[in-house]
Amino acid sequence: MVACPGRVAAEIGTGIGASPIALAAVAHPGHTYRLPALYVVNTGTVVSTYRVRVERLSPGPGRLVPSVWVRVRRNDVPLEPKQSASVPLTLVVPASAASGAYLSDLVVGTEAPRAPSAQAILGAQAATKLMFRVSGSGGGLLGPPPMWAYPALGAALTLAGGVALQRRLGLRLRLERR
Amino acid sequence: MGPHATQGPRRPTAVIMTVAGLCTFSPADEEGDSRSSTPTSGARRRRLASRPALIGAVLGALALAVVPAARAQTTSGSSTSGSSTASINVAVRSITVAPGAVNFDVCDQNGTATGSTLTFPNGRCATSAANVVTITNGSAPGHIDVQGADAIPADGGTHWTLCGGGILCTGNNGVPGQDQFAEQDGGPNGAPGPFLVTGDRGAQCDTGFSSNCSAGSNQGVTESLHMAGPSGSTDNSRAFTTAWTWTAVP
Repeated sequence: MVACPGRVAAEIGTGIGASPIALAAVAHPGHTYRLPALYVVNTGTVVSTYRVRVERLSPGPGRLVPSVWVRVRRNDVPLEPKQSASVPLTLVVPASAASGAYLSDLVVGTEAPRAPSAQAILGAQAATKLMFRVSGSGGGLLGPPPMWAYPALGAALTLAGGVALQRRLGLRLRLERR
Repeated sequence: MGPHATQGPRRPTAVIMTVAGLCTFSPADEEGDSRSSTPTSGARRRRLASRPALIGAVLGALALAVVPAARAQTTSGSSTSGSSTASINVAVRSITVAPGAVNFDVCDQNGTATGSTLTFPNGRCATSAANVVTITNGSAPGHIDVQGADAIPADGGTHWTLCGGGILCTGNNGVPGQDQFAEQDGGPNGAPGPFLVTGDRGAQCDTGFSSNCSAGSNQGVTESLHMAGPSGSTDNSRAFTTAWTWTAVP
């Protein structure tokens, strides 16, 4: 290894939201969920580009989360010193997913320059937990309702409210043919 | 039914409360309405005729209401939005490493100094006391791991891969073999720590922070980097680049 004199006076830094990224409800196989966005901040003194990946680092019970289940909608994010970004995440649970608790980590880190430099390039990464549960069924009775269910629910409530209003206020609509 | 429902001037509010109240529709509500009115037989028929629709609507609403509350988080779900401004302090787990790159500037072969040049076979290099790396954990206590990576020749040819740390070094007496190298970190004047492994094989506990790699709030350490070169290199490049990465984990 050939060394060059001097050293790069820079501080490489990575920060990540410390609160675990968790899905509040039980996930169902075959469905897609929007996870809370991941907070990423450059705690260093130089511009760095940050990449998010899924890797199990934390000990503890829980199934391993396949990295392909987590879609990072914005990756390779360049950040100025002290600048932060929110990285949207989506969880895609395949229909074949086993039930149970899942645990992994979301790891964000600086990307090393690609050009050879005859040096040891140093990097900084930070991780936070990713946790969720998958139900045993493939979205049966308690699965997410289809899109049409929401306007149907609204229509049902409106109808019921109208009937109740009619009864309570004694309103009548009378049609006469002349 | 909420108290607002009986107040005339607030009738629009009463309508909203009535609709919302249907989610908890109960027989007692219906009895109350029956006592307060004296419907004619025609009106009673109309009321009876409308009752299945009402009950059906309520049952439909209840059936959908048992759907887990977080359904709104599905990407296919609908949501409403508004705007407001609030300051939120986000707890951050962070780490800083300085400098961003270092040279292995103290090398030797079998105890004979070779300046800052790695020699074959199995020369060794390290960072000098003036060339140490400072790793600082952020405000959140946690653990610090460290991992290495392949050494990549300037021409992009055959990499040197890490050995040690569970990966067999194939040279004589357990030293790195052809296209292999080993890395260890350590205190600025102390003994080297555990062998590094590549990222896809996991990370090593950085014992520079503590024996179990736990790191306190804003704890910083200085470390030197050590490496042992291969018995021989397939690639003839005179410069190789590698990466060391420290990770703050929960």
